[in-house]
Formats: sequence, structure tokens, C-alpha cells
Amino acid sequence: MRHLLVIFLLAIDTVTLARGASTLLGFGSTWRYLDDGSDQGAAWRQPGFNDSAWASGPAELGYGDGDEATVTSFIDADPITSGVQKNATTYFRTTFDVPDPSQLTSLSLTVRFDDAAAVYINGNEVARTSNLAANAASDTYAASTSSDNQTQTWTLSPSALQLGLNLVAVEIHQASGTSSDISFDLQLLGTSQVTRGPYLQLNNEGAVTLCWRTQTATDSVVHYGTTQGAPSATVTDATSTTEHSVRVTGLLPDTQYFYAVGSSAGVLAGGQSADFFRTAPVAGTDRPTRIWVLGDCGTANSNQAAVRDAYYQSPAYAFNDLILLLGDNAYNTGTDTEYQNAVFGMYFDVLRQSPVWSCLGNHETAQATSGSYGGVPYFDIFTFPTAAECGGSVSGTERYFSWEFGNIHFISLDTQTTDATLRANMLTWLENDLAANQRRWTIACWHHPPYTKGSHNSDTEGQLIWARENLVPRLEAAGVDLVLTGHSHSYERSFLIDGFYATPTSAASGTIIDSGDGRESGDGAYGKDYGAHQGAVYAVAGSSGQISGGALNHPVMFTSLNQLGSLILDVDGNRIDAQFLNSNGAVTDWFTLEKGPIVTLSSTDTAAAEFGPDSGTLLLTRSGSTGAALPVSLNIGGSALNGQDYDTVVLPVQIPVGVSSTSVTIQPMADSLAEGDETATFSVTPSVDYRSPPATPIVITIADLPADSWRFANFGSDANTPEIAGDESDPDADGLSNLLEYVLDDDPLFPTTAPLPGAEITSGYLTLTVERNPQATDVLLEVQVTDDVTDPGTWTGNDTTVLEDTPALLKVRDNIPVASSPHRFIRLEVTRETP
Amino acid sequence: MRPAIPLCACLLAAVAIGNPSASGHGDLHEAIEGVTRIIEDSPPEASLFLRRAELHRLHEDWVEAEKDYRRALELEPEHGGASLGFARLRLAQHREEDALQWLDRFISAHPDDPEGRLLRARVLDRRGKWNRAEADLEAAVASSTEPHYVSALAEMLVSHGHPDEAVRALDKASRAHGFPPSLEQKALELEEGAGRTEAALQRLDRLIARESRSDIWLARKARLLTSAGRPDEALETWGLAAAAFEAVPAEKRALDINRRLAEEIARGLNPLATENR
Repeated sequence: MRHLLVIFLLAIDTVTLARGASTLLGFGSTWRYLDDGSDQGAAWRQPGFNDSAWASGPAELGYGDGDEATVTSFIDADPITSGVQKNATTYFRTTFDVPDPSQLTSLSLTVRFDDAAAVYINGNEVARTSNLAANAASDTYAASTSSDNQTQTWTLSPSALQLGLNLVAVEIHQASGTSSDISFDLQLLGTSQVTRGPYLQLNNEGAVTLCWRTQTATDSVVHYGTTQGAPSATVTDATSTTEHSVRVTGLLPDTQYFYAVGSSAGVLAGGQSADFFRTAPVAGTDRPTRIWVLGDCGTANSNQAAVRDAYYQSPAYAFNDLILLLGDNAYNTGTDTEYQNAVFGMYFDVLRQSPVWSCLGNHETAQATSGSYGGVPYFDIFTFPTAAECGGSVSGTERYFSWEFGNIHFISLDTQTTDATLRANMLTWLENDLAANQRRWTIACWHHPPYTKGSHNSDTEGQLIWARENLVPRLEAAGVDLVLTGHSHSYERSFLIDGFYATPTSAASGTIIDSGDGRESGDGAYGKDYGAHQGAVYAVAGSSGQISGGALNHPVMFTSLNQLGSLILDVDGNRIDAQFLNSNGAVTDWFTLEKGPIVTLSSTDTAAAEFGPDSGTLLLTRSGSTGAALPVSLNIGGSALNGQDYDTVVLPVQIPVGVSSTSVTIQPMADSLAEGDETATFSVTPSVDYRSPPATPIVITIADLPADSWRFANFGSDANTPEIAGDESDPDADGLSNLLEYVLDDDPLFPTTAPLPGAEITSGYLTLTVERNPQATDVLLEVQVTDDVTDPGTWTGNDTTVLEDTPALLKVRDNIPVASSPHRFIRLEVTRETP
Repeated sequence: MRPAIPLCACLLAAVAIGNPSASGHGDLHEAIEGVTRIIEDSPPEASLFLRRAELHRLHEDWVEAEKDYRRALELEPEHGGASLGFARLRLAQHREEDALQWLDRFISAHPDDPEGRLLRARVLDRRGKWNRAEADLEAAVASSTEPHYVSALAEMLVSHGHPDEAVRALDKASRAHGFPPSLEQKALELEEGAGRTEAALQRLDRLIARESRSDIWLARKARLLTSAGRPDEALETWGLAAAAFEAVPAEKRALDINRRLAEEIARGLNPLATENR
């Protein structure tokens, strides 16, 4: 994307052709100049001449009038004569770039001069004022004076130009040595056969319509392909027309195509790196989408240009997947000429790349509120879907329609027409369209804002009230997310709201679902679930061409700004990021809208163990409707491995239909490895299907088998070496196996220091006391007795009585008194338990 | 893009039927004052007087409105917009006979203007001249691709007891416009209202085949079959609706309309449970 941006800006900074009349070199350009009175002969007119030592400055250049942007100097060319005799000639040079001279049909050269001028392009003379002799020498004065800042225009052939860099050289001659002033400025315009466009319409995943206008009628040809300069296909329409509209079909979804348009006689426009379009992604897929929103932009003045340029030059600039106009696109009555200036001239650079969409404003129809707009240029200039050509549903009219881009459903409505039958039809259509809408996002636009206290008042004006009372309830019942309007020449942006239908609107007439700023850096993004009445944001963005103030105090608005600007929307998965960029390049409002149920992860039992085994438990909880199962993915980490150290947690985890939570059991798998306690961490993986607020991961600790844990603690890296750490081994050679060392909590690497189990006679019975390791819970201790140590089969634990059994102590006595038997023996048997 | 008609005619008409809220910024008084200032600073221009006349008319200041309409006509006697504006003024004053004369004048100059035709048709219909009204609406339908003119024609035909003609008109326009739901639904309602179940079912079958949310139309068909006393077919159709509903994305099922539909489908599939309840 950044690469595209660089290409695009270069295109703006150099020359953009195909707009009818384009500026190749404007008044006020910067020139190199030589004012030392020297004789430069003819070499200075040539492109190869080295002028690097010349001074430079912006036009107007000259001296003596006081209106110069750059004041040049002069010498006394005749010191013998009394008074300063100014030199006759001052030289000027500059260059400009022409990407494709073949697209130009003529040039228009205008020179502001005093007193005489000769102009050379690429070394060839192309214009000379009548008061200057041909090949005038450097000391030749003009034959007559001119008026101050006189201008003259010449029509030139484009053959004067060459592809790429061109040189223009000018010599200004004084009328006499005593003349007080000279002046110079120059403008060079290129006129092309294409006077409008190309611009893009009806963009879908497999087709786009390219439109352009030519000065004279021709057939229509579009060359296109995925590689710049190498078109792979051509579409031709043999109809001779000046209004060209060519549908290109059979395209791949979400694919960039370069194009050029023209006639069978040749290419007239396009073919440059910036002449491309991109098809829509496959319907229903999530793809980052940039939308540039302009409301009431059509003033065709410096305000509109400032808003445009602020965006073009902003770091926020990116390729626009769509351009959305909110009506009043061309003041004052939406004539074709006004559209030429306010839309096609103003936004040429982006209209040739991105499809433009719109809704009907009052100035498109010259204020008419009837249903009859036959011949209104708006409907001739734009081609909008009437038969669901770009998704959505069939409306049968370009006044109101829907279209889709990826996972966004757009709706454009007509609030200008007040005819009851049309409104009824539109509402019927809208209800059907909303019911059929299966996209994640719903963005609606129309001209008259349902909520505004800008230059219009939504509590008192009929069309605004009608929109609020008729459109808003239907849209909110269908889960609309964002409503974009204009009409008021300000920027007003609401909280996340629902249900404000009453007139007048008061703070109590609906629900402010989130009264925060909607900013992740502030009160947090606005969040909403799928379903009806989950909240929407309403933005009045009608200040892209003028500002008109107003009370700017509507109660549902978070912010109301009397600033020129445009709205930038970025839709990515289940979030929309919006920025209002004012004409100074500052982002003065921004908000984020996130969509989907909230999914949280908690735990009711974070302690698990291999021994037992003892499981841990996760709990996934969702908000919102439970009408459909919700798959949730988890980020799983930690030292314990899924499916290796605990039973496989199958992802995604489904929260079933009809319930708002589900538990996940973390069931440890016992192994014979001595590895110490392990941890398994879980967090919700972000997804476009739900919202997952930032949260600390849940940590489930899986305790190792106690014996393995003891071995891991005592043997370290040798813990899993049976010869050293095995139950039967005795690495410290103290006669106690590791298992016994474990039971007695002794150090297995040093000879025994712990008290060994002690046998004694207590109250006439043989008694064994074992001070045991309380952590050794995975062993069975049995005290056994016998009276015949020679017969191993006689050892038994049945003839004993447990006197004391605590985690740290086992005390057992023989049931046979020592007095009643010649011999009694007592011993401790230790057995490892398996989980 | 549509074929252009002469711009001058359409703009004249458009200015004449202007709207105060659209014209300026602020209330009617401010808008009137704004236009007055422009009138005072400009050479006499019919469109400006028309603009102010419209504002006065919407302000219900009939006297001032009439003055400005007349001034506009003095400056430009053939101004179609002024004729239409005058007609609207007379209608607002409940002087329909006068309004008709102005509409006749407007339509004679702009016979293809569907809005003038629609306005006159409504007046004629109120005055019992419905054949002429129908002719006006048919002319409006013939001169415009906008679906709301045929809706108006259908409404008028129905109100005069001609539902069959209304359906035919709707069908013809619907085919021409790519079957917009606004027309299809109106025709369906007419069929149902007239008790023509088979015709309504055939229409529903076309909608089911064409529309992306076939479950909605299947449910409607099942409803119709139920009310027509055809429970077996209804049950089968509820089953089809249930299957089609499965294609509705999970997140969209939370919408009220879809939740209600799901409940209705469930009830339709288990009618006995519903009866026992």
C-alpha cells in the first residue's frame, strides 16, 4: 500500500492528463534566471545547457512594479551614457514533465510579459511577441513598450513536447535602457481529447464500468490487464459517442487491473502507473476496506480543494476502495458544468482509481422535492445499481439502492423526494433489502441528517424529521451500524445510540448506549453485538466544501465541529475506524466501532495435577444472543503442551446454541517424566466473529507426579536417568533406594541423615513409627508384621493397627503382643502408585 | 446513465417545486430573506421569484406566493415551473378547479413530465374523473422508469375495483425494472387480497427462486398455505423454510426479524404443539 501511495503522489506532483485542460506548467512556477546582462547567444535555449549557476525563484519575476514574487536585477549596460541604462535581455529557464504527449490534442501558452518575450520549448521557438524581432540579440530592445503585466495566449501543437522532461526557455526584453520595469510569468496548459474521467462505476467482484467523455464522438475502447503497460484484453464498443461507458467483465475478484481508454484510433487516457482499479473482494469476505466520505463538497473552490489536499497529503492517505459522496456534490444546481468543476476536476486523481457512489442531495435536483428529475445531470453522470448489479437487492431506481463490498452492505437512500408513493415504495424496498442483508456491516447514507443542530435543524425541517421517524427505526431494527449524512455544513458525530425517533429529539427520547468518546485511547471503542437495536453511530459529514456553523449542540452528538474536512473510514474484520480529517490536515475526531458478542475467558480451577489426575477448568462466556453456536479460538501457550501434557483441547471451542457459557476441562496426562510443575496458558484469540477485551491469560498449573517432582528437584538434569534417579537406584550408596529416600524426604545424593523408621515396643506391642515426606502422596506405605522372617509369604499388614496417620507421620503397631510370640518382626513396604 | 432530456425544461420545473429546508440554511424566514436580498441585488430573474414563491407557499403565505408566481410569469410567460408552482398553490388553497387549469397548462408544455402527470391524476381522481386520471398515470409510467409511478397507478386501479389491471401493470413494470420487491410485494398483496391463492403461490415460487433470502418467502408461502387450509403442503413448506434458514449467517440470526422467523418456522413445523399450548 505504501508503494502505491508513492506512485500516486508522484502522479499528482507532476502532470495529470486526460482532464480536458490540464496544467503542464502553472503561473507561479519556479524558474532559473540570468539577469547579469550577458550575451548567452542561442545555446541557453537548448535542453542540454547548464544553468545550474543561475539564480532561481518563483514567478512572477522582474523588477520595478512591486508585485514580483522574485525581484530580478539589472546592470548598467551603458555606463558612458548618463543614468542607468538597463540591460536589454533577461533569461529564464525551467523544466516540466509530460508522461504522454500523445494524449494531448493542443497546448495553450499564456505569457505575462513586460515589455517583450520570446518562448522556446525544447530549443525551438514557439511564441514571440510582435514587438520583438526574430533572433533578437541580447542587446536588442523591444520595438515598443507593453502595458504593465500584459498577457498574450498562443495555441500550440503538442508536437512541441517530448515524452518525459521538457524545457521551456524565455527571454524578456526591455523596451529601453531607461524603462523602469520588466515582468515575466508563464502558464502552459495541455488540452486532451478526454475531457472527463476516466471514472469508475458499478464495481463488483468481476466487473467494472469505465466512463469518460471526449471532445468529439469516437468509438470506445478499453485496454486492461494486471500488468502496467501490458494490457492483456480489450473491450470495444463501436457506438460513436462523446459519453463513453464501457462495462469490463470477466475480471478476477480483489485484483488490481491497469487500464487505458481511447478509441480504435488509439489510447486517449490512462496507461500510467496511477491508472488502475481494483475489483471488489468475493461477497461476504472480510478485507480491509478504505472509504473516503465527502459531504456537501461541491463548492469547487479553495475550501473544497483544501479538504481534498489535506487528505491527499495526509499520512492517513491510502488507496480508496470506495469514494462516497453524501449529496450536494456540485453547487448550486448540480449542472453538468458544476459537476465538471466540483467533482471530475476536483477529484480526478482518485476517481480514475476508485468507484464513486453517492446519494441524492437537494442541490443535485435544484431543490426539487418531486419525483420527477428527468434530465437532472446527477442521473446521467452516475450509473448506480438498480438491479443488484453489485449485490444488495433490486430497487428498480437509482434514487435508492444498495450494494455490497466484501462484508459491507451499503444503502443509499433518497430523502430529497417527498412524494408519498415514492417514499412508500422506498420503505418497502428498504425492509426487504435489510431482511435479505447477510453482510457483517451495514452502512447507510442519505443527505438529510436525522440528527443535526448545524446549519439545519433536525427538529424543525420536514425531510430530516421524516428520515428520523421512518428510516432510522427500520435501520436500527435491522442492526445498522453507521449512518452517514450531510446537508448541515459541519461535522457532527454521535455517541453509540439507539431509539431516538421522537420530535423534538431530547436526551431522554432514546438510549445512549455508550456515552464515551468511542476511542481506544480514551473511553474505549464503541462495541455492539449483532442484532437489533444494538446501537449505531450517526455522522453528519457535510463540511467537505464549506462550513456554515449553527448551534452545534445536538444532544446525541459526542462532538460537533464547524470545520472543513472529510471522513475516512477503515473497515477491517469486525471493526470500523473512523477519522475526521480537517482541511488543515489534523484529525479532530476519531472513533472505533467493534462488532460481535463479547467473549471472556475465566477459570474456576487453575490447579491441575498429573497425580489423580486432577483437572483444571476454563470457562468461556459470551454476551448477546445465543441463537447460534459461537466458535472461539484460544491462544494456548505455556510449558505444558496441548495433547501431550494434557488431553487435547480441540479448537475452536464451541459455545453451543442456547447457552451463554461453556467449560473446558484441562485434563493432565500422567507421564513418567520428571519435569516439575508445568503451566498451560490460555487466552481468547481475537476473531472477527466476536470481541475479546484485553485480558491477562489464564494460567493452569499442572503439578507433576509427586515422586517425579521430587526427582526433578533432587536430580536436575539426571532426573530422567534411571540408573541415577530410578526408584531402585541408590546413588549415595547409603542402603536406601531412591524410593525410600523419597518417602523419608532424605537427600538421595548424600548418605542418610534423616531419622530412619524406628521400631519399638510400646505397651507390649511392636510399633513402627515413620516420619514420612508429606509431599509423597503417590506412594502407599504398608507396615507389615510376621513371626517367621524365613518365610516371605507370611508378611501381612492385616494384623496391625494404625495408631497415627498424618501426612508427616505414620505410626502402626502389631496386633500380636510380643509376649505371646517367640518372635515378632515388623517392616515398612513402600509401593509407588500410578495415577 | 439515462438519456438526457432538455436541461432547461427540467430545471425550470425543478426550481418551481423547491423546498425551503433544502434551499437555505435556517428557517423559512431566513430563506425568504436570503432570496429577497438576491432579488434586490440582481437583474429581474424569473427563477428567483419562483424560488421565493415556493418559500412563501410553504410558509402558507398565499398572497405573497401568488405575487411572486405572477412576477415570474411576467418575466418568463412560458415558465413551466411557474405553472406547476401555481398549481400547487391552488391545491394548497383547495381551489382544485384552478389547479387543474394550471396543470393543464404545464402538461401541455411538458407532456412527458411524469410529476405533472401524477399531480394531475390525483386531482382528477378526487374529482371523479378517474379515466383521465388513469391516462395521466399511464403516461407517467410510459415516460419514466421510476417504479413509484406504477405503484401510484396500481393504487388507483385497485381503488376503482380493477385489481387485475393493477397486477398486470405492476407485473409489466416489475419485469422492466428487474423485479424490485416494492412492486413484487404490492402485486402479491393484491393477489392475496383478491383470494387468488394459486396466483399468489406462483408469484411466491418466483420470489423463492429469485431472492437470496428464500426462507422469508417460503415462510410466507407456508403461511398462505395454512390459511388456505392446505396443512400438508404448509408443513412441507415450513420444512423447506427451516432448511433455507440454515443459510442465514449466525450473527444475523440475532436480528428480531430472523428470531421471529425462526420461532414461526419452529411453530409451523410442530403445529400440534402449538395447538396444544
